[in-house]
Amino acid sequence: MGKQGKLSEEEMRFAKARFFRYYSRAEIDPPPRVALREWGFFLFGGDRMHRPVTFDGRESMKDYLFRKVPRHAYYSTAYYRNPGMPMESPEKGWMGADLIFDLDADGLPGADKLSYEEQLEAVKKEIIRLYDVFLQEHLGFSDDEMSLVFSGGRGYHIHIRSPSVLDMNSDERRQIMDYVAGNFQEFSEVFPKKRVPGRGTVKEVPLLPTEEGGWRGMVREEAALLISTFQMLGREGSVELMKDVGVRRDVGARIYERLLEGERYRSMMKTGDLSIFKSDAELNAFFKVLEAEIREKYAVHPDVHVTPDIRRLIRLPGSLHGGTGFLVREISRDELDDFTPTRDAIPSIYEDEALIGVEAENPVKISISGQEYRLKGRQKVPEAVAVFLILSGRASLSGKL
Amino acid sequence: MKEMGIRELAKYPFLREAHEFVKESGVSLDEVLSAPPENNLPLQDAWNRVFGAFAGNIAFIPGVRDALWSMLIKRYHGEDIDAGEIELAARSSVSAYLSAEEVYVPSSEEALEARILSYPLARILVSCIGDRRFMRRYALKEAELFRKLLQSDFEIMGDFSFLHDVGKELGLNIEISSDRAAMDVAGYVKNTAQMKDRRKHLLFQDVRGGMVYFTRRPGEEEMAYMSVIFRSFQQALQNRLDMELPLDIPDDMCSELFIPVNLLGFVINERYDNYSIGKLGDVETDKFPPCMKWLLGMAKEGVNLPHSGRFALTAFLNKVGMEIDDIVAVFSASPDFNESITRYQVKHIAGEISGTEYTPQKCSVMVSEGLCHNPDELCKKKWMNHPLTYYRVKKEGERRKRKRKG
Repeated sequence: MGKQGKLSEEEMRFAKARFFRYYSRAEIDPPPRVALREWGFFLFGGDRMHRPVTFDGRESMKDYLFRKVPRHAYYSTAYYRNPGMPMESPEKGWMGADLIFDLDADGLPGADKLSYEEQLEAVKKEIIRLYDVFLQEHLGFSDDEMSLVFSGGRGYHIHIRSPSVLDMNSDERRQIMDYVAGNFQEFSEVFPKKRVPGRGTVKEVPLLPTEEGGWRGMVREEAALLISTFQMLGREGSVELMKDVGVRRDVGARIYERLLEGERYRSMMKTGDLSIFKSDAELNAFFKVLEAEIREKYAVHPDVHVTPDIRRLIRLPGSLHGGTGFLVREISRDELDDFTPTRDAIPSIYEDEALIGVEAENPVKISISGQEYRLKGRQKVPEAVAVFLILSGRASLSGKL
Repeated sequence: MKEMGIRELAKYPFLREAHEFVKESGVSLDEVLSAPPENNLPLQDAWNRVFGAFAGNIAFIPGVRDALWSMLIKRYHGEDIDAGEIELAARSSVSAYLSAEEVYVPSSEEALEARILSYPLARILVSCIGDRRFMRRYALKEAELFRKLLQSDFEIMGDFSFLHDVGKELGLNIEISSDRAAMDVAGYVKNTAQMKDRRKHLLFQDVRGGMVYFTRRPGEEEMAYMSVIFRSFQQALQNRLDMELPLDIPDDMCSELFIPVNLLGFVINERYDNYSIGKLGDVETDKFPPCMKWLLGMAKEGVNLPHSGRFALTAFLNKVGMEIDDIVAVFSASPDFNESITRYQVKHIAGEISGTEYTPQKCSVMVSEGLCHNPDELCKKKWMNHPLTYYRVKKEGERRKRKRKG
């Protein structure tokens, strides 16, 4: 938490002055039940979190932000009877906690090969899926119950404050997280098993799920879709499609035959009986194709430590992120589709005409407020760009302020 | 809600209507408390509830008054009994309760009324006894009894609206029909998260629009699709009792019940004290890292630890040299303590079964599993990476200090 790029004294003063400008004007709404929360802050130049801090309302929070100008601002997702007590004190009195999802580029497979802006795009796709498919459609949370926040860094947070989730313990939250993340020990686990007595033993045979909803419903839907895709592509195309996810041609051809010859897939879809596949190799390959389709389409990767943690600190919406200078910004679901953090999360405190000298050791390419910047070596850039480059460690301050 | 008959109220005495019934019946608690035990039906049933919970099964065995009950009668008549006699009687009584399979429901009006009264009376007894670990066990056993009765009633009568009504009173949001049942996600998760069976996890459920659906499948046992619903009923009552107990009972009422409270309390203390953790020899708990002290404290309190916490604590205690018997004892306060299962699990982790002796999680994993609690200065050292390292360092430090002095 609070990755602190190493800043020089001068850089610190430079960034803090801009943050001060922000906090002296900002109208920030504290989270609901502000007085029951614990707060934590990293200040410029300090490497210890100041906590627990408490506020009795909006004014005392504003006053703190104005006086201390923190580099990072967090509050507890949990409510406490006495939030100012140390964590180990039995009198602190945990009363409940918001349910939080944190999706960050760190969690995405292959994110390290993407640029910052590409990462933001990839995370956005996932947060939309998490919001629309899992939280809204499956788990039944409404727009009113969910608060969507750009983290100011490389991801998004969703806060849920419905009464039914507040008292959930860590295990219960983990169940919900495992659900949205599709945390199977292995994918084949999703298939229900039927016990079939054999010669002296009982064998467990997997079935195609017959459930309508949940992951099993998705598997079922995907199987139906796969079959109609096969019908459309024909034999060669289907074998090719399966080869792309690593199924050998001869096995792919057999899968195609088993399903489509004599329309045997019909009975499979109806009863769930997978015995049309004649070997484990065929069955496993079929699973593999389904898994590839499903993971591609549905899986999201929330931070596994955040959701089950009932004593977490989370960034204050409306504050500035100390590693980018961007706004931690609450947005509506409607805004999300067109939301571009490097354009829409820039605080409006910068003086456009002021140019700041920076020096980048490695080449940097970044768009800020719709304008693209390519840097190497010394250069003058607008304030907003300079703040981002310096705080994120991509460039250092050079020349006069 | 439909009006319920006295028979229903006798089976489900926690319902609001049962409470009303007691109020309207005009039976005063004082009357019940002062009646001699021999023909005090409410007290006998309450005894059944409380001692049954201790034994492991609330059964209401008709006609059988256990050996410990005869001790109670003797005490009422002023006879002296020594501790050894009580222990012996308690031991022989336990098996009678455990072997009773059917829950006996009487038919006479008087007996049914007594059964209803026995519920508040049992709660008073449990509160007067005052042992929090036992309260949790009582809540569990009372809830198990509830599920048993509800399930068998439903199998016989198939009355969906009755289930709805009872569910609503317990705060469950359910929908049930003859081929499908459903429950809201939050309720489902709260009632299943402790279950060890992975297949019950939300990940494998039919989840749509905030509800979890259970559909009756062809070829499946008739009531199979309802099993999670029944389990949730049980959990809901258990949670409610956990929250309500202990009741705030005035001292003079507890002294009216002095003899049963005293006898049951003696037996209960006896069990928990036998398992108390005073005799650990060279294992020095004060040198345990804060996480293990915390887990140990909770286990001794009877708090149900998450699986990862149980594992960490068991593996740790084993590694620092605690005997299997003593580790089993640590978990004995758990409300659903089952000695043979616990012993098996402990032996498994200790490597006595598979040959693989497990090591507790390292610090980073403890942290991510939410088990790192209140870390102190030593925990925060850069090189500190394992709870066992912490313990070793503490022990080593002590040894050196002693050496220097000596």
